[in-house]
Amino acid sequence: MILTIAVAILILMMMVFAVYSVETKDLLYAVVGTMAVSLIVSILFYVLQAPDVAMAEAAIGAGISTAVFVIAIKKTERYEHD
Amino acid sequence: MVNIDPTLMIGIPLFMGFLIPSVAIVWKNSPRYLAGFTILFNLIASTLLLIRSLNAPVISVLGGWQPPYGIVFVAGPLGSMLALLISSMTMLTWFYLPPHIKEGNETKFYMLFILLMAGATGMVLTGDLFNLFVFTEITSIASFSLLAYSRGKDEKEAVEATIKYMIIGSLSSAFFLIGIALLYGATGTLNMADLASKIPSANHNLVMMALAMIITGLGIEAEMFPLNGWTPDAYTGATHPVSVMFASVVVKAGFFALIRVVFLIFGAATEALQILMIFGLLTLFVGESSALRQTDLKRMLAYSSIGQMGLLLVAFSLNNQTALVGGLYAMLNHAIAKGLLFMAAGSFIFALGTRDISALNGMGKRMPVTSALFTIGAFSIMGLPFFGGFISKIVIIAGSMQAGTEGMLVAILILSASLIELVYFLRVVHRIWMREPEDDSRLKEAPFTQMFPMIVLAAFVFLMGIYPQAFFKVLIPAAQELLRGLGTMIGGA
Amino acid sequence: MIKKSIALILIAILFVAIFFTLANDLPFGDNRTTTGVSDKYIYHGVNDTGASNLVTAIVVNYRGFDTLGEVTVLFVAATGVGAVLYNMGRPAGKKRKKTEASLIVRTGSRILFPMMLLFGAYIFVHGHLTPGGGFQGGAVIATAFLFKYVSDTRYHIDHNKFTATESVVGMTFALVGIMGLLLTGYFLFNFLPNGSPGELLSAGIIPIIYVAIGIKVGAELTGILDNMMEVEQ
Repeated sequence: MILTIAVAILILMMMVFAVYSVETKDLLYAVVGTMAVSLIVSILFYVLQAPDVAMAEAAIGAGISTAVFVIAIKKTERYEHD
Repeated sequence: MVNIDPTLMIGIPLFMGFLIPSVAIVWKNSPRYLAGFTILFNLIASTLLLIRSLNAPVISVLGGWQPPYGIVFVAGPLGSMLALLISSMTMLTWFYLPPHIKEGNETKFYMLFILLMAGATGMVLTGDLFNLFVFTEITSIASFSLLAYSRGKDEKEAVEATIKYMIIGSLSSAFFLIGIALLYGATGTLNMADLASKIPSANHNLVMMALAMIITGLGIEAEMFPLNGWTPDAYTGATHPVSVMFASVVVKAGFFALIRVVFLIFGAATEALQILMIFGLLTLFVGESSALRQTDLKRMLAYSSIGQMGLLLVAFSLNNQTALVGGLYAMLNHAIAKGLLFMAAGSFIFALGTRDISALNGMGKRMPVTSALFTIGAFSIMGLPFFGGFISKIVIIAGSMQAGTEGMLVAILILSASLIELVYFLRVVHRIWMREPEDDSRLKEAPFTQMFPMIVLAAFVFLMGIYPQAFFKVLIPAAQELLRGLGTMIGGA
Repeated sequence: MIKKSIALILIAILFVAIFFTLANDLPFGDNRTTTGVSDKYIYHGVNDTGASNLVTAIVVNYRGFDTLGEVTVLFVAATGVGAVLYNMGRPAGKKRKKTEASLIVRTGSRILFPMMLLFGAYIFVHGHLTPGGGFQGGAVIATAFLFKYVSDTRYHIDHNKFTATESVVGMTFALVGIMGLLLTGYFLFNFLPNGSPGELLSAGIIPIIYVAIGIKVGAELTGILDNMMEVEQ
């Protein structure tokens, strides 16, 4: 029961972060948002008993790809224009 | 008779692809020769494979795990014919390459070049749906990278085309992957033959959704109408040999994957075929009528290639043996003739320095050999008698006649599309031979290494027009293979 | 605006259609081990392959060819990043200028770097025993190099060495496959003894392949990071 509630909260948080990172004009915040999504997905994978995928998601989704995004933003622009 | 295992046609190119960068550190000119050697190996292997597979399909089990538990390679006449087409087009393009690659890029270019060939070969030979996805990924990512490497003068244009293709291509693989996941969820297996036997009893809604996803995903690779936004830019932005590879290898492999999924796994699902028919006709007309409006030679060829893919879709969705043979014939003819056209156009553009069609005035006097070769390719795509395209269109129309009144309509539409094709190709040919050039000087013809592949392709175009029986010997069993489905081929394994 | 709302409506329709089909028709949570191929993997996986980690058994042994393909995909993608960024305004010999990292970051990275490398190596060496494997371990190794880049502005990798490493490990994978073909007639056949499950030296060719993948993925991801870092703004 507690696990179900925790998972529901995590999914809700994931959706909030996902929408936030699409909507925000500050790309750096958007990247942090996607990183949060990856992190939560990784926890969910672990809860669903898929530790292998959880590790990959944590290392690549939350780690490397965030770094790549941040570097890309640093080389270009931080704010999105209309 | 030496037997080469079909898996080596993937294994050797991958090995060489990994080898090339490190050898290039020591010996700078090696990539070209190593790549040539690899392509030659694949050419020989696929020729032997085609001969073997005409008697019985060649099945190779990977890792020793019998299907459906492991991955399996199934080389019927159809798959091995396409493997041969892929390796021979790659070989000919290899001859055509040298002046079109930017200095300093050769190593990675050749590496990507053979990996592209390996990916396309895998796409046509594999008998496992997820493996098909993996090879589709290799092929499409290698094409993005080749596109990015191939920029010459128009750096910005090529990079923009790359990014566009990359975004659309990633969407395509996402759709394809979701489709595969749904199919796996509905049936619990990934082997194509096993899927074919389990799909009739699986949940219909899920299967149809999976089919829709897969058609969307592969339709992008196969230049199907609403999904082909990347095509003109990619063809125009790429260097000429890479355009040849797109037209003759990448798109053909994508199209073949689509056909294989629809026919072999879904047993020619009628819902899918109706949709493919409509989209095929749309692709045909949108492609041809856009080609009519182009002033850029390569863009025109790109749109013409979209139109031809539409013709193929229509032919295959008619779903009878005659139309299938015609479709396969058109596929071969398009790969060969469009390859020839892109090569000749590349030579024109290389000599002239512009892609504008109006610059082609009087090219017949300035570069007679290349002009003659271009004309041969154009005649074949138009479908004039004594060229391959004629036979393919005749057979497709004969096939559509078998489909009743609806087929009549299709035949009329195909003929009117051919008329549009006739107009825009004749316009270019007219410019080349009839108009007086503004500048009378002779331009330097391409060197023999570049002329050689074009002459070989032109010879094949003629051969296909004059002696089609030789090709029917392979194409008829290939079409029967598609109609029969996979189940009987591996004995329902 | 109209374009955007049409797009939104289309997405909404697609979402509803997909959601309800999946909610109604996907046999989610059912026991489906009897219908598909999964029962074989679950009940015979350890015996067949000698790997205690079933995911690894499937990824590297049953479907090892897919993994060879995926490694190639990553290889090609890394090359593609290099291709897009190639010559994009990088003046020769000019080093990237950045503010020096603080003392804490520098000291921390000096201590953590070898540990992270070790952890990455641990993950892929134990791929057949514990969760994780070549891809995860490789990503951790790349993170270690990322740390180096962040803490030291003058740090850069030796491209020739990285290329050579990538080549050698990639060829190892392909060679293992070809050796299987030569020895037994099946590409990527497990030609080494399975050993007893649970020991470090077990599961036949899996450890060799996973070590190769781990090094290769680490080198490639580092290469991508390096490519991005070196581009001028």
